[in-house]
Amino acid sequence: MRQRPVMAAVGTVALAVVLAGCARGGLAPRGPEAERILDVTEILVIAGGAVALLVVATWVVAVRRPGRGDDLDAGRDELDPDPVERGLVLGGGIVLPGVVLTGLFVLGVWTMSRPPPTGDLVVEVVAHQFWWEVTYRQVPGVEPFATANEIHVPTDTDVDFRLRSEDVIHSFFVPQLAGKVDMVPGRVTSLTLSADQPGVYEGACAEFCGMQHARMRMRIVAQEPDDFAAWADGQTRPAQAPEGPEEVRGREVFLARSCVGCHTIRGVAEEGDVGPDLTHLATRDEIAAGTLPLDESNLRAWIDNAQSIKGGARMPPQDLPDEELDALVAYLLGLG
Amino acid sequence: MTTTATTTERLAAAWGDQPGILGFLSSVDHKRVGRRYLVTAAVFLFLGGVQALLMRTQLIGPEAGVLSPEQYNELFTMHGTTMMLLFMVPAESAFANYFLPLMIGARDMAFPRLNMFSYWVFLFAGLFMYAGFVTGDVPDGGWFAYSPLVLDEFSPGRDMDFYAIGVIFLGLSTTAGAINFLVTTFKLRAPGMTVSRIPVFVWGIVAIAFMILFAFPSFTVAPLMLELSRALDMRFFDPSAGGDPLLWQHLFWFWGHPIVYIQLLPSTAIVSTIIPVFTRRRLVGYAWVVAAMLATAFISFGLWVHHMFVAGLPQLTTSFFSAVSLVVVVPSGIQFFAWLATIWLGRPRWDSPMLWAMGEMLLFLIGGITGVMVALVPFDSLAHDTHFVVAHFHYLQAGAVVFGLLAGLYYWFPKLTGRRTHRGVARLGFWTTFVGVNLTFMPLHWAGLWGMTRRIATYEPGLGFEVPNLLATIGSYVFGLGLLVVLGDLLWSWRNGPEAGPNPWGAGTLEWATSSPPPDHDFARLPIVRDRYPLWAGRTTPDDSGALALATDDDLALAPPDLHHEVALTAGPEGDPQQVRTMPGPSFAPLLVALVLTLLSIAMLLRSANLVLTACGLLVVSVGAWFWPREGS
Repeated sequence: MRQRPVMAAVGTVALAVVLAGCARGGLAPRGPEAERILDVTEILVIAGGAVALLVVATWVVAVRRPGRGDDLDAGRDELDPDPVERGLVLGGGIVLPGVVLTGLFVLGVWTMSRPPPTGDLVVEVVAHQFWWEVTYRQVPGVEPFATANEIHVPTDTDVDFRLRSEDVIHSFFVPQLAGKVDMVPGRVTSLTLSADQPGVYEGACAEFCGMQHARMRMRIVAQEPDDFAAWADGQTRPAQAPEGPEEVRGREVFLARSCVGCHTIRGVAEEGDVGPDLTHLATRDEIAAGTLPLDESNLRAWIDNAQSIKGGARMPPQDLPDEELDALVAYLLGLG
Repeated sequence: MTTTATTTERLAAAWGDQPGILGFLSSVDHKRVGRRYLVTAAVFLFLGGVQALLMRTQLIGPEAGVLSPEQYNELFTMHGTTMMLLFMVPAESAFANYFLPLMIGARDMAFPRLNMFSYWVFLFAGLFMYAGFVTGDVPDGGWFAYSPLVLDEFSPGRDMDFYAIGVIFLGLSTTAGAINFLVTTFKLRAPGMTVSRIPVFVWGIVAIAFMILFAFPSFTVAPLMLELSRALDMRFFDPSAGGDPLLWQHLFWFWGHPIVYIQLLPSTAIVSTIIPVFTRRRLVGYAWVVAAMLATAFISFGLWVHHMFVAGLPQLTTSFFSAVSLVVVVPSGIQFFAWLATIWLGRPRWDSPMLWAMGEMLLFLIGGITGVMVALVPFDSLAHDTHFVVAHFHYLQAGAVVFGLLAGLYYWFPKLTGRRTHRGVARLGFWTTFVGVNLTFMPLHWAGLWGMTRRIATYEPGLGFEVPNLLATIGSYVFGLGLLVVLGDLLWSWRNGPEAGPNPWGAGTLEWATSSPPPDHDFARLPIVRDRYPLWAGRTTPDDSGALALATDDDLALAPPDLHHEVALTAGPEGDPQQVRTMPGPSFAPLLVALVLTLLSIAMLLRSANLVLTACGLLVVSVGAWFWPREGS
C-alpha cells in the first residue's frame, strides 16, 4: 500500500516525460500555419479515438454476449430485416461514418482556405540534389541576395516562399512552421509561413530525391525583425576581404583551383552557379545541407573529399596540397 | 458403388497430370497453380521481410552505419516492389486460384492454360526483377519510381530498367489472372448458384478482378513511357520538352491507389468468410457487404490524387479528392459493422482462423482511422511522406492484409493439406506476430508527427527520433519471429498434423464438400446449389448434405466414359446449366510463351534491336503453337 504514492509519482513523471517528448516537430508548432494543422490533428485524434473506442466496445459486447445461437438454416438468402442487423450495419456502417466524415471534410476545407500571400517578403528556394539554393527576391530595404540551406526569417511576418527544383522532385518541409510543399521541375509552387517566436526550426527534404535524400536537411532561423534586418543587411554586402597572409593565400587558391567553377563569392568570383553561394559562408552553422557543423576540421574534410562524407553529392574530391587546403579553409572561415 | 468407383478412377485419369518433371511443367490444374503461387509468394514475402529487417536494423539508432545510403535505397525500393507486386497480389491469386473454382463448384478455371501462363509469367517477372541483385543493378529509385529521378540523367545504369520492364512483364500475369477469375465466376458456377448465392470471398475476387482490368493498363503505359524515356530518349516527363513530372504521378497513382484495395479486399472478404463459420451464423448483411466491396472497387478509382496533396495542385482538386477519400471509408464501415453484427448474434469460437480474423479487424480499424486522418489535406501536409504514413499503410498492408491472408491460410490449411495445425503453436505465432506488428508500427506514428521523413537512410541524433525507432526495430524482430513461428507451425503440420477430414470447421461453402486435399477433378459429381451456404442449409447431421444435391451422370452428362475432361457451363444470374465443355488439358505452351516473354524482357533490357526482333518472332511462333487447333479439341 505504501508503494502507491511512489507509483503515482513515477507515473506522473513518466507521463510528463512522454508529453514533453511529444512536443516535437508538428506537435510543437511555432507559427500559425502549423498551429492550424495541429488543431486539425487534435480534432482528428479525438474523433478517430472516439470511433475506435466505440467500435472496440461494440466488439467486446458482441463477443461476450451469448448471442442467439446457431443460424444455419436454409432459405434466408434475402437481406434480413432484423432490427439488430439493420441497426448495426446501416447505423454503424453508413450513418456513423457519414456524419463523422462530413464534419471532418468541412473542417479540412475550412482549414485549407486562407488569404492570398502579401508578397512583402519573398524568398525563392531552388532545390538541388542535395542542397537548397536560397534567394531573397524581395526584402524591404535591401537588394536581393543569395545564400544556402539556412533560411533566416523575421518573426511574426508572412514569408512567401517560391519553390522550384532544377533536377528531381524535392519537398520543402519544416514541421514546426508549416505543412510540406513539393518542388517539382517545371513548376513553381508556393508556401506562406510565419514564425511566432525566435528560434531554429529543423527542416528536411520530404520527397525521395536520390542517394543522399537523408542528408538534405535545412533550417529556418527565425529572428526578431531588427535582428533579421541586420542579418539581411550583412548578407547583401560583398564578401569580406581576407585579413592575414594565409587568408590572402586562401583566396588565391579559391581562384586558381576548380572552386570558382561551381561556387560564387560575391566581389571575388561570381560565375559559379552549381554549388552554394559562399559569400557569407561563415555566418552559417552547418555545411552540406545539415550534414556537418561548420568548423575547421569538418570544412577541411569536406573540401578534401566530400564523397567520403556524402557520396553522390556534386562536390568532387579536391586533392589539394595541405598548405593550399589550410589556406583555403582559413579564408572561407573568414567569410563572415 | 462399382460405378462410382469407376467414375472416380476415370475422372482421376482424365484430370491428373503425367508423373515426373514433365507433368510438373505441363500441368494446368488450378490447385497446382494456386499452390505454386502460394509458395512463390511466401518466398518473396521472406525476401521482402529480410529487406525490411535490414532497413529497420539500419534505423535502430541515429547514424547506425549498417547500410550505405545506396544499399538502403535499393532495399526500400525492392521491399516495396516485392511486397506490393510479388507478395500480396500473388498471395491473393494463390487463394483465388485454389479456392475460387472449389467455392463455386467448378472443376477448373475457365482458361486453365492461361492460368498456368499467369503463374509462369509471375515467376519469371519476379526473377527478372531480382536479377539486378546478381548483375549489381538493383533498382534504387523507389517502387513509386518518380520521374525525373528515375530517368537516365539521374539514374544511369540498368537499375530502373529492371524495374520498368519487370513491372510491364508482370502486369500480363495479373491481367490474365483477372480475366480468368471473372470468366470462371460468370460461366462456371455450379448449377443453381445464383448471384445471391455466390460466396463472399468470390465476390471479393470479382471486385478486384474488375479493378485489375481497369487499373493495370495505366501501370503498363506508365512504365512503358518510362522505359521509352530511358532507352529512346522520349521525354514524356521532361518539362523542358513539354512533358510533366506529374504525368507519371497521375498514371502511377491511378493504378497505385486501386492496388491497395486490390490487396485489401480479398483480405476483408476472407474475414467475411471466416466470421460466419466461427460464429455459426450466416453473414449479416451479405448483400450490403457485396455491394460495399463493389462500391470500394468503383470509388477507389476516384482518389488517386490524395497521394499528390502536397504537389501544389489547386485547392478545388484537392478538396474533391479529399471528399472521395473520405467516402471510400463508408463501404469499409459497412463491412466492419456486418462483421460486428454477425459476432453480435453468434457466439465466437476461438480457433486460429478466427484469431487472425479478429487481428485483421483491429489492425484494419487502426489503419483505417489513420487513413481518414491523411485524407484531410491540412493533416496530410504534415503527415505526407513522413513515418506517419509508413505506420498508416503498414497497419493496413503488413497488418490487415497479412493477417487476413494468414486467417485464410489457417482456415484453408486443412483443405490444402488434409491436416490440421497445432493449436498451441498457432496461438503463439498469432500473439507474437500481433505484438510485433503493433510494436513496429505504432511508434512510427509519433516519429512521423515529430517530423521524421520517409525513405531516409539515416537520421541525425538529437531530433527525438531515437525512441520510436528503437521500439520499431525491436518490434520488427518480434514480428519476424512471429511469422517464423507461423511458418514452422504450417510446415510441421503439413507433414505431422492430425487428419482434418473434408470439413473440420463445419463450414458451409462448397470447397468443404470435397475431400481434403481435393482430388484432381475437385468434385466427382457436380453440386447443385440451393442456398448461399449449401453445406449448412437444412443440415441436421454432419453426413446430411441438406440443400446440397449432387448431379448424377444423367443430369448433366458429366463424366461419361469417353469425354470426361469436362466442365459444366452455366448462364445468367440464376446459374442455369447451359452446356458441357471439354477443357484443355496439360500443355507446355504456357511455359514456352512465358520463357519467350522473359527473353523479350532481357532483350529490351539489353536494348538490342536484333534480340528484340528475334524474341518477337519466337513469340509469334510460340503463341501460334499454343493456339494451333488439335484433334478432338
